[in-house]
Amino acid sequence: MPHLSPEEIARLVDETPSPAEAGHLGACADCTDALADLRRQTAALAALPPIDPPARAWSRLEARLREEGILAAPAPGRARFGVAGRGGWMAAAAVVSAFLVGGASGFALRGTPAQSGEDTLPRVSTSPPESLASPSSVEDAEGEVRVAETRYLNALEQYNRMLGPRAGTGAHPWAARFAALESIVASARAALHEAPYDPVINGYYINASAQRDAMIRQISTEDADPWY
Amino acid sequence: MDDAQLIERARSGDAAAMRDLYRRYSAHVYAVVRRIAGEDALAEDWSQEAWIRVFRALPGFRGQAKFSTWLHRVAVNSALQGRRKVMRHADREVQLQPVLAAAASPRGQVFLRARLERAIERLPDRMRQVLVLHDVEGYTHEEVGEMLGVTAGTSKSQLFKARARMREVLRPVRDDSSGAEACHI
Repeated sequence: MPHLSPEEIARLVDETPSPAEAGHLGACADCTDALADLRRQTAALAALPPIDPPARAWSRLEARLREEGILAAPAPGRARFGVAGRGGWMAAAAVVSAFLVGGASGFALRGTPAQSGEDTLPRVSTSPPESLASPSSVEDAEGEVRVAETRYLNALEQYNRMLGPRAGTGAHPWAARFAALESIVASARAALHEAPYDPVINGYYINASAQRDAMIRQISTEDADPWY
Repeated sequence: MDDAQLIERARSGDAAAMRDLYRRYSAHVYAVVRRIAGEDALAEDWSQEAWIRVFRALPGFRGQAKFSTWLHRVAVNSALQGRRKVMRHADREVQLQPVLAAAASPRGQVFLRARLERAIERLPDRMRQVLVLHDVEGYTHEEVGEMLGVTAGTSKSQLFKARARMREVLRPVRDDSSGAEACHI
C-alpha cells in the first residue's frame, strides 16, 4: 500500500483508521511519525494562549462607544490604561528609542576592558553623529537613516559576536532578549499604524523584526524537538 | 464582581463595568479575531467592532448562553464578516508579525507558539479560518460550517488540508550548506 496522503493522515488525528489504514500504519514508520507529529501539532494549537490587544485598544473603543451613544458622557478624571489616542505612536516610538539609546549606552559602557581573553569593545558615543543633526533635505535625511541603520546593524552584529561566549550564562538570557525584541517589534508596529511612512520607525521595525526572526531561526536549529 | 453583576451594571451604561468586562475578556476576543484576521491592523478594528456589537446588544442579553460563549461567537462573526469585506476589495497585501507574551514562558513553548502563530498566518484564508475555529477554538465541524456558510464535510476537508499545510511549514528542513537543520519559518 502506498503512503497515506497528508490529508488522510490529518483526518486520522480525529477519526479511527480503516482496517487498511491501520495495517499500513502498523508497518510504516514514516506515516506513523507523521500522524504523531500532527497529533502534537493539534494539541499545541489547542493550547495556544490568549493574545493581549494593543494597549491603546480600550481608549479607542471607549471613544467609539461615546460616539455611538452607548456610553453617555466622558467621566471626569477617568483613569486610562495604555497608550491612548494620537500620542500613541509617539509614546511607542519613545519606547523604541529608549531601548535603542539604552542599548547604545550599555554598548558604550562595555567599552572598558572585558574579561580575560576577550577583545576590548570600542567606545561608542550615545550622542547622534554630527551629520544626523541637520540634514538639509528629505533625501539627505533618508540617506542618513540608511547610514545609521547600517552602522547600527554592524555594531549589533559585533556586539552579538562578542557577547556570544557569555550568552549561555544566567537564567534563560535568550528569553529576555526575545521578549525585548518582541516588545520592540510590537511598539514599532503600533507606531507604524499611526505613521506608516516614517523612515526611522520603519527602520526600527525592520531591524527588530530581522533580529527576532534570526533568533527564532538560530534557536530552532538548536532545538531537539523533532516535529517543529 | 462576577460576570452577571458586571453585565447588569454595564447594561445601564456604567463605563467602569464595561471596562472591567473588556479587561476580563479582551485577550480572548483579540486572540480569536487576530488569528482569523492574520494581521494586527485588521484585528484591532474587528475586535473593536465585536465589542461595539456586544455592548450595543447587552441590554437584550438574557443570559440564555454563558456571556463568554456569546461574546466569543460575536467575535468570530465580526472577524469573519470583516474578512469577507476585505476579500471583496483586495487580497491581503501585508504580512505582519504576531505579538507574543514571551518573557515568562519556557524556551520550547515560546518558540513553538511563535512558529505556530506564524504558520497560521501563512495559511490561505479559508483554511486558516477552519483551523482556528476547530483546532484552536474547539468548535465542531457543524458549528464551523454554520459560521462559514459551508457544509460540515467542507469544513473537514479544509481542516485536513490546513493541518497538512501547517505540518509542511513547521517541519524542520535540512540546510545542505551547513549540515544543520533550518526551518521554513
